[in-house]
Amino acid sequence: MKNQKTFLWGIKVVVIFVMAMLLAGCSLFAPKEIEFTVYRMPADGSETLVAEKIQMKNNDKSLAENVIYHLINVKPISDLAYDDYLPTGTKLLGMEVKDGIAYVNFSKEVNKRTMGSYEATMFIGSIVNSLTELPDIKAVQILIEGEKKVMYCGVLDIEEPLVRNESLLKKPASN
Amino acid sequence: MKKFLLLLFFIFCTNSVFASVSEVKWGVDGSRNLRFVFDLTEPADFDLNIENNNLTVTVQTPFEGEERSEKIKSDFADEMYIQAAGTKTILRVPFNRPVAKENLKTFTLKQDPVTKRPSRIVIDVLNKLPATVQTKNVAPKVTVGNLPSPVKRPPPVAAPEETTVVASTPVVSNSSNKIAQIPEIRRASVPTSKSSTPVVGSQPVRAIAPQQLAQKVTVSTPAQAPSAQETNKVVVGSSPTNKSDAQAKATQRGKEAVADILSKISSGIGSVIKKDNSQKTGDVKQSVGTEVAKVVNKAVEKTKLPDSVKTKATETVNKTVAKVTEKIPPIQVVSAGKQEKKSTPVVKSETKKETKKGEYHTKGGIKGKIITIDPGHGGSDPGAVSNKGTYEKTITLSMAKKLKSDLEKMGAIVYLTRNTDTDVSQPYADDEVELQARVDIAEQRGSDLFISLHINASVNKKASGISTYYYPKTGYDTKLAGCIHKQLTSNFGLTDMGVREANFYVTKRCSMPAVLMELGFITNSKEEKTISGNWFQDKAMGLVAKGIQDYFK
Repeated sequence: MKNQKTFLWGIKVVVIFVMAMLLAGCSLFAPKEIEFTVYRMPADGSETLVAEKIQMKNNDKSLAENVIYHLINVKPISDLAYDDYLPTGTKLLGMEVKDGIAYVNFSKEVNKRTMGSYEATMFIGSIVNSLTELPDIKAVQILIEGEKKVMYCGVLDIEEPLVRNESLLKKPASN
Repeated sequence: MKKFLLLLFFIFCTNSVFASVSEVKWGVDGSRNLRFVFDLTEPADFDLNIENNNLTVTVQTPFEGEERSEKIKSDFADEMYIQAAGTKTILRVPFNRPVAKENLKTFTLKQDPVTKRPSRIVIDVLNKLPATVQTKNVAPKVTVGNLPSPVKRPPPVAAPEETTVVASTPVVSNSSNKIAQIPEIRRASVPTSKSSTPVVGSQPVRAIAPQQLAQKVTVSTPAQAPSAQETNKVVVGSSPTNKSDAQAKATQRGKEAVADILSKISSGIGSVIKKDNSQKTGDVKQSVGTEVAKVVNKAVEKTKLPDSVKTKATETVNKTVAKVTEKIPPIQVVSAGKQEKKSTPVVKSETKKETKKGEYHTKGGIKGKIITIDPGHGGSDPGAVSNKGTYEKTITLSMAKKLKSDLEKMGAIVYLTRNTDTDVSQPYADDEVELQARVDIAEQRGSDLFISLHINASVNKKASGISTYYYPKTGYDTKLAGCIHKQLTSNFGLTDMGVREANFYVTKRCSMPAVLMELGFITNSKEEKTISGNWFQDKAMGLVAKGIQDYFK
């Protein structure tokens, strides 16, 4: 009798455990962890972006949203990357991917004239290269306050979607 | 639309109680036009007056800045006086040469939070008359062939007598047009260039049309001058003249329409001739006549004139065109010398060369190649500024001049987008307008190369070195950047930041191969010292010239 009782309890526990596992499995078909690369502005003032591999728990955001969030809101891990990244006050107003183009909408502070040509090039380069690292994004359209602007920082042409710039990822050929 | 704008203006005026003038600036552009700019905290009403050759601008808001008289370097005046008069700001400029009211152009700019531009009132004293009037000069550019006697051209200033209304009203009615026009020029000039037929009736083309006319073909088109003259007379005549305000405004509108129509006619004729050029020779008179009539009528249709005037104008145009075409001797389209086909590239000589966009030479040595050098920034835009107060614009100009002389020694034909410390478009122009003006110069000269010189800047004071940027649009940009950069870095002990792709406006928007060079950092104190010196500039520019020579090998 006693043995039978324990056996039944055992079965109940196993069944509950299996059920729980199944339920958990059902709700988390998506991977528990996501992985992506962001390219950051270098701290040494060179023109080679610093790659940073990120592994994090999955959340309700899309991969592209995670990339851009990480790039502008999370401090870089490595000392090689420049941490004072964005012009102060810049906010990400929105992010949308449509037909292979990522539309990244910044607040007006992003267009800060005190940025030199160097920062402007590297900043745009880091956003475009980080996002185009994702397989479904081919180009990035920068929006400022929801609008397409022609000029960025008085030098760059950002009217059309920008494509990946591999030249910012490699070191200059040594002589 | 105009009424609506006026209404908006009135609303602005009522708000102007809280406004004030924070600063008054002046500047002179490449065409020696003088510009005054009022920075306002809020949009405000203003008056403009010329009496005894004294310009007085009264802005209906208090002045916050310093009352002063300031020396100005211009063709028109030597000094300006800024006074605060209670709730008004008064700018007084005594002109030292006669200035007609037609030479004054005013417009207002809205506040732009992105570029931190305040509200502005802009007053231009134009060295020449506005383009709409100037287009009448198109005719002389066409070489007249077999005409018995030269056609009398209308004088460049055709109708100044009745236009006195313009300057005394606060907002010149042209102003809204002007602002709208600027960005259009760029957009229109980029895509239309690829197809060889200019868009008929679109305003921006008129700047290109006359040039193409002169360069492509020599045509005897007496139709042009008389028809322009006739329509001018006709429409002006039919519009009411003087006295009451409304009538005066109508006259003004009529005049603008006429100028507009004339410009469209010239571009229209340009397109007609282009079309018929395919026939090379033969009688194109008939088609010119009908096309001209078509174009003119279309233009009339587009204007905002009252319907009665429109129909009258159309009738007269048809009649005039018919009359004129009858009188023309058969038109012969003669090709201008050797038309450049795919034959071996001839060394460019003084003969008129076709400057079609997208045509550039990449081989055969540097001799005779056309190179446009763009010294970055200038005039109202200092570019990057160092801690010590060194301006980027000063260094780039000095470098550009050195590069020019080096390249000329090698036999190249070199143009600079600016020769002095000046804006290429207009002082305080939007970046987009200013940069497009530089690209336009390169296009107009039919350049084989465009070299933009800049000095880099960064918040990171450690940043140093030379980088060469290109935009891979022609297949030769990469080669050009490579050639120049190789010379620079392999013969110079400077930090090499590499050859990079970048979306710089100038290198992206011009049709010929182009590079933008950032020759060191002005924000790096050690490098600032180096790049300001003659030794560096001479050596660096010598190497850039060598690189360009390598490219053409």
